[in-house]
Amino acid sequence: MRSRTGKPSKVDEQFDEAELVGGLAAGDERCLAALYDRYGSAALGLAFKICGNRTIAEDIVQEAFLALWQRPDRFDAKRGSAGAFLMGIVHHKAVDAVRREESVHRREDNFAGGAPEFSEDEVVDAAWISMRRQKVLAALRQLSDVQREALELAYLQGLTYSDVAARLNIPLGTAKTRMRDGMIRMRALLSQSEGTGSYDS
Amino acid sequence: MTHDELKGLVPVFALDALTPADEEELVAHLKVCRECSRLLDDHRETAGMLGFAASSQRAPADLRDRIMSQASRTAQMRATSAPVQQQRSSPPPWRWHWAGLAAACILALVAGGLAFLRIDSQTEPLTQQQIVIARQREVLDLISSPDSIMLSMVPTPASRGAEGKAFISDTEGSAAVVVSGLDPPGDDVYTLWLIAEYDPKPVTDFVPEDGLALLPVEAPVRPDMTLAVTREPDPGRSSPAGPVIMSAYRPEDLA
Repeated sequence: MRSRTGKPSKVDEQFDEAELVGGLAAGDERCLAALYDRYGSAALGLAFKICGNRTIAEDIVQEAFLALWQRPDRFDAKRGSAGAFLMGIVHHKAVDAVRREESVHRREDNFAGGAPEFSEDEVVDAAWISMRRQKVLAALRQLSDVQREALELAYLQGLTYSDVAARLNIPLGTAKTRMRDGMIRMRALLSQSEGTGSYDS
Repeated sequence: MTHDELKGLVPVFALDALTPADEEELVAHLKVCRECSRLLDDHRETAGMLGFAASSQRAPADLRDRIMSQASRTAQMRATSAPVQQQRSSPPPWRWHWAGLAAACILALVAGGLAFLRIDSQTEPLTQQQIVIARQREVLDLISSPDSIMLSMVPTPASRGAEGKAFISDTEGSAAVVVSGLDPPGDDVYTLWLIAEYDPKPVTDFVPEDGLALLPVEAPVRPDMTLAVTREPDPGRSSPAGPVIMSAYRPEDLA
């Protein structure tokens, strides 16, 4: 696979996230390009899922990658993966946008063109993201219905726990407990999954 | 909130799903609690992974170009521990309010005798009072200095209306915190902490005089460090146990 800059990218070889972020810290723009090639479509999918507006979702993704570019030192490979770190930035910015702009709740039906189509260059990255997605979805399916519902409302719709409680007509404490227990279970399931089949290799 | 209650909020915080008031309190707590900070790292990783549950969307070709183009025009900020020099010709007017509060502290000491600071000291009262007053005057100079950086202390709900400012002098390698409006702590004490890398070090225990406290920090407050005031059940603690009242974080890029 080739990056769209035409240069061999890190993704052509083993995708070493820590090395790429190290490259960012050294001001190597090719490393930013490689991270975008790997995570851009997933980041846009998450931003769009939360805010439901294509223009705003693209702005959020742009801001997130630039935030990583400006402050690569905020990522510490010992504390987690670059992918999760980046998605965390995207999520935070998307939730901020949703809470700031009620208008973005006016959701567009979908991106023009429907399902994503990937060029040959993007197939490896798309397959890799798909594999990761399947692992997360498999873990989500193992949660209880109420835990999964609470996590989806909070994470993918950008609701606070008090919003979740109101939406589900449950006490605040119950909403917090469902979210907390769901996160603890997800953490265990994803750790298991990581132990039996690598995300990053 | 207790430590266990705050700890229970960590996974919800990782989901960006706390209410603003809860988030404010937890963020203050995270600055002084290594256990909760480590827990947050784990849950942030999990929350970030949840992001992959959303269907990927093919981005327009120009988004990549926009990002790369903007990156090439955007300077990277780098973490630095080097002292930062402030270049100001005269102290801004807002400093005088806090300098006035500091002066009030000194007058209170002179008129009313020693009432606060270093309550664990074994020094004789009169000598200690003289020392404290001298130190307070040094702090007043620091506050008034055009070379010092001022940070607002961010109050938590536990502050009950108290407010504070931190003044940092890279030139002197020291700092000061002025706090006003603090409730009497009763059987508790307040403690000022200097925190680097989630490792809080006690600066001083104190009991405010008429809600006021002027607290010298005889250590450099470098970028990425936090000053925090907590309310503790007893003095001399090596790590905080009580709630955070207010805190000020010095950003890495603050010059």
